[in-house]
Amino acid sequence: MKLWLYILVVLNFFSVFAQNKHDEKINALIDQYTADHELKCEIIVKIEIEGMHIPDKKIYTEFKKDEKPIIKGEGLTLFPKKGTMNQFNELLSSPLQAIFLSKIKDNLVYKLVSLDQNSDWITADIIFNEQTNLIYESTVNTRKFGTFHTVNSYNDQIYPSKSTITFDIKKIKIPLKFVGREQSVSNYSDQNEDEEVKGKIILLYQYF
Amino acid sequence: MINILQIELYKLFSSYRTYITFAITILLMLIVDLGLYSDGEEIFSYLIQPLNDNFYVEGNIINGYLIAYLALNTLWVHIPVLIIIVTTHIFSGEFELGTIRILLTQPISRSNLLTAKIISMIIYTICFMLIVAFFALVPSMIFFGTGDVLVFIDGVQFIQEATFLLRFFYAAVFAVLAMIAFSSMAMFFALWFKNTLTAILLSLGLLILFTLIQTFVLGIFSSWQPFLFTYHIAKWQLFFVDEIPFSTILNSAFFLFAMSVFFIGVSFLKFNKMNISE
Repeated sequence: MKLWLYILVVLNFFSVFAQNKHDEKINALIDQYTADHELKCEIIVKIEIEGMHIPDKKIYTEFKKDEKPIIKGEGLTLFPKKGTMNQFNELLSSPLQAIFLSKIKDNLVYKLVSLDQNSDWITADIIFNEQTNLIYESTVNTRKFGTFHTVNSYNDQIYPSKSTITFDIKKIKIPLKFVGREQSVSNYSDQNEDEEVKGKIILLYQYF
Repeated sequence: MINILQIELYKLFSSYRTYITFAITILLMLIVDLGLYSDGEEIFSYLIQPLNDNFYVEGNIINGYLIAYLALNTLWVHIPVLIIIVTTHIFSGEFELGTIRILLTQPISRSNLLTAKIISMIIYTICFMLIVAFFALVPSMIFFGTGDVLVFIDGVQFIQEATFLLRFFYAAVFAVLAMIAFSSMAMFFALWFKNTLTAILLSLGLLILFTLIQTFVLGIFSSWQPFLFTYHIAKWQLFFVDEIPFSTILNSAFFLFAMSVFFIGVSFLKFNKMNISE
């Protein structure tokens, strides 16, 4: 009987340890991305979404921890909510389970699973460098807004010099009265209620 | 010729009808301003909901340039209606009042008289469009400021603020040509039927019919589109596309110019051979 109790205690210890204790690599990554950095930068935003013609914009942005970024630019500016630097902060600040998947050269591949029922993200696959703790690639699955795939490039800083974000976005449904008269109604009759189109954003960062 | 033109212009600009159409246009533009002031944010938030889900959208969406662009949509029905109320009367009014008989007993050629009336029609159309452009643009710029413009043509276009005024100017010039073409057709009906109301009804009937055919392109109608004047009038909108398709617009401008020349030419033939004692 005592033997069984010992076995149960030991097994329980390992299961608790496995759920809550991250390995050192992930801890280092969390430390790096959740540090209280305040960042000011200029970003050239290039947006390619099927069915939209959005000119490239240069915007000024200030990132602060746990706050909506401050965005300033000429005219109408669009800045992605997901896939930017502050998303990794949000991602790694919440309770998560990290599962090591593989190692490719110096890069580690992990799957992160959110343990917070209220967080928007559900799972994330990340590829980061073991030495520098910089995330090079991520695929984040969210509850409301689908999947975001991000590829980052770095120069000599811990912040990316370039990010490419790909995602799916619901097609904008234009009510008939807003359809340009130049177009016919039949062009809009095949609009699927929840039709999604591919979106791609390229962010080119310049830091101060 | 100059004297006849002066008389025609005097008659045109001393008529209450002319100023009533100007007043209605100004009122229309102010109604567009007021409507967007009260509900604009809500309407556009709904329209760009997918963008709001994925992006922080910063900037003034409901701005004066957007309102000026939306106000130009009155070019579709409202402006043509108002314009032909006056331009048909320039021609058929003389028949209705019986003054054409007195006028043609004077030592003036019929061609000169018709030319003076056509020039009056063109001047009125230009004045009308200047008022449209001014009141579409200036009050909205003062009250709403300026900014990039969201245009729903061929998907969604973000028109940059810096390029808007030039596009607006091009669209207004194109609209003048379009309205002259439409007025020329109304003029022809006015001369043919010698009755303002009949000319207006016929012109509007064609405008509505062609608009329906063009908007609800179904099967066989799709191949008719290039022959509809409404299809070409609507091309002003292409000035608000990211890369302006000038060749398409020039084709439509040529169609409208040819339409004007055709109806003016036929009107000359009709007027010169017309038996005014009928």
